[in-house]
Amino acid sequence: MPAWDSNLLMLAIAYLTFFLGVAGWAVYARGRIRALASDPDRRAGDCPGRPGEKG
Amino acid sequence: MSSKTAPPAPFIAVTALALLGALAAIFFYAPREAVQGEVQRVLYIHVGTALAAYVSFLVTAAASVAVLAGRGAGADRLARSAAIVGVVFTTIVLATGAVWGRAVWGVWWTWDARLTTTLVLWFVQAGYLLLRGWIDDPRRRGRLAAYIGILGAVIVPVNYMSAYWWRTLHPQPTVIAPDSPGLPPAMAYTLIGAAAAVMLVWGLMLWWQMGIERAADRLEGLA
Repeated sequence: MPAWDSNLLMLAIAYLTFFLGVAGWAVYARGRIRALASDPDRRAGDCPGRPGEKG
Repeated sequence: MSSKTAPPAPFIAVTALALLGALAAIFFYAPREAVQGEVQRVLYIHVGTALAAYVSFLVTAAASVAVLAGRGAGADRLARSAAIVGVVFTTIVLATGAVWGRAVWGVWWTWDARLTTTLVLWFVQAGYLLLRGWIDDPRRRGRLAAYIGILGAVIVPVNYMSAYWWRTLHPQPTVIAPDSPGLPPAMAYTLIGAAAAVMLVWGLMLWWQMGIERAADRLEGLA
């Protein structure tokens, strides 16, 4: 592979790494939000104290 | 993402525009470096990401001090949000640095002082988050994790100064070092612009993560 070619490939990999890292975090954050939204304790409703305990 | 945890739309728009502007400057405005060639453009994103990682450690440490001073759930939320975002940026720093190193030094990794201390920082942040997962009691969890959070900030100056203190392969800073010949203006502006754009991305992620942690605390009865 010519030197300039491998140089460009490395450049592309580095920027892809940055955007994949940020996208990976976004997937994690989305998963956390969904998990929190579907938590049975949350759906148990009006609990002023410990999660899941009815008030 | 949930609208309750999301940052304001103008913040998202400004960040997206700044990132697009930075990418345009990196690829179309900054000149091609004569010795390294195209791969030198990796450094524009690498330096900004390293800055974001440093700031994450410092925010985690400052919030950890507040946790130990009894400032409670809000400080703990900030500490762990910065640690989660920080581990992402530290991972990106290590990965982009490895790619640049492969192209310029011929190796993906070497036990250079700067690289090794960056890896140590990554382990500290990962350890901080792992420890949190092992302890159920929120108060004890926050206090024990705070000690690790503060340890991270102690290592940051060692990491920064390692390029001066030891004979390292890693280049020394070129923009803020007083006795450095500096960069050509187009490269310096691009570097500063890219760092600002990455910091906006960091701020956006931190905001979002704080919203998620607030929701989690509410569920646990802490907020």
